[in-house]
Amino acid sequence: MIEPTHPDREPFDLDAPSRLIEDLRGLEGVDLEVPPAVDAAILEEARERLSPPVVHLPGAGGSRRGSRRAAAAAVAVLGVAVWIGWPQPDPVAVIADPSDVDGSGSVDILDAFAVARWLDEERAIREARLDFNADGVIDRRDVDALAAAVVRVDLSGRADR
Amino acid sequence: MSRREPAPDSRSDEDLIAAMNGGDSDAFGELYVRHRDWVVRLAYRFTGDRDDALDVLQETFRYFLGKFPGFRLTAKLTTFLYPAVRNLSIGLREKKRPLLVGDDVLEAALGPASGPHSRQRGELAPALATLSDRHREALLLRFVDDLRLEEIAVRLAIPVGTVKSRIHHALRVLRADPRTRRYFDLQDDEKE
Repeated sequence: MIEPTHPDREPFDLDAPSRLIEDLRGLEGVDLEVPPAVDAAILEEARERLSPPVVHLPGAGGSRRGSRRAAAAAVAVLGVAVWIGWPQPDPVAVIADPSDVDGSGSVDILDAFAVARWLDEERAIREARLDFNADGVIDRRDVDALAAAVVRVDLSGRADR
Repeated sequence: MSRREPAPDSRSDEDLIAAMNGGDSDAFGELYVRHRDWVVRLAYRFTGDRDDALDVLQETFRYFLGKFPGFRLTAKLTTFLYPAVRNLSIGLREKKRPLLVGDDVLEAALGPASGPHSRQRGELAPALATLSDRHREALLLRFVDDLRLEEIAVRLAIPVGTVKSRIHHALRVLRADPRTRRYFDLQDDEKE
């Protein structure tokens, strides 16, 4: 490609010989495989930075039995919420939409209950959005985290009334 | 209980960034896998050191993550990342090896020549090292990364005319260099 330039200058020659291009590319063909540890460190940092903050409830147990307990806890919390007047205008919508597990349009204790039920039924849950505590595993601790966050925000909102 | 597993993702970079703005770290994982090798190769071009290139890789994606939430992609992601990789690489190079001049870095990055044209290729690296950083960068973006002139202009934030001038100058130097003149002679012979 010869392109004209200023009248006083020589035209731009912007074509390189094909062999030169081939060798330039060959020179850069160094093996630069990224070690898995580097990948893991970067992805872990991303999880920490991007995931919404969660609150853990104390007292976590085994897997299936634990998930049943978590489901029971979620039901109990749901009962308390209903007893004090729930549903009300939703003060818990501060939580990101991905937490809206049951697709109701708001994030509330029913979402925690849904996750607990799925875990109890051992349904395969692979959605990253359910990993509320961002530990890479979907388990009852995520139920605890979501339930605690919802109740904390909900009750604190009501206390101001 | 299920562990998350990586799966192919057909979403565009723009869609993945939108998901990241919603807190989806898996979307970041997909973007990372897409662009990781490009970043580390580019960093190696600037630093000439594998470990430094990996450091730049981490710093580049840390910089990228720091833009969230609220990041809006207004160009290609590589266009956004290029100056980050470039500046981080140059900064690291100057910080760690202040006495190492650019030519040495380039020769280290290009490595030992091997293959069918190893002798000619072996002379190519030191010839490239005689180019200025700016001319060499434009040349490699054009012929190694295969970018269009307009893309190079955006990436380097310079006019297209300047890109043309830099590539033209780089090629002229290589044509005049006895170590690389043969490439051009062969091309001239083929044209005749």
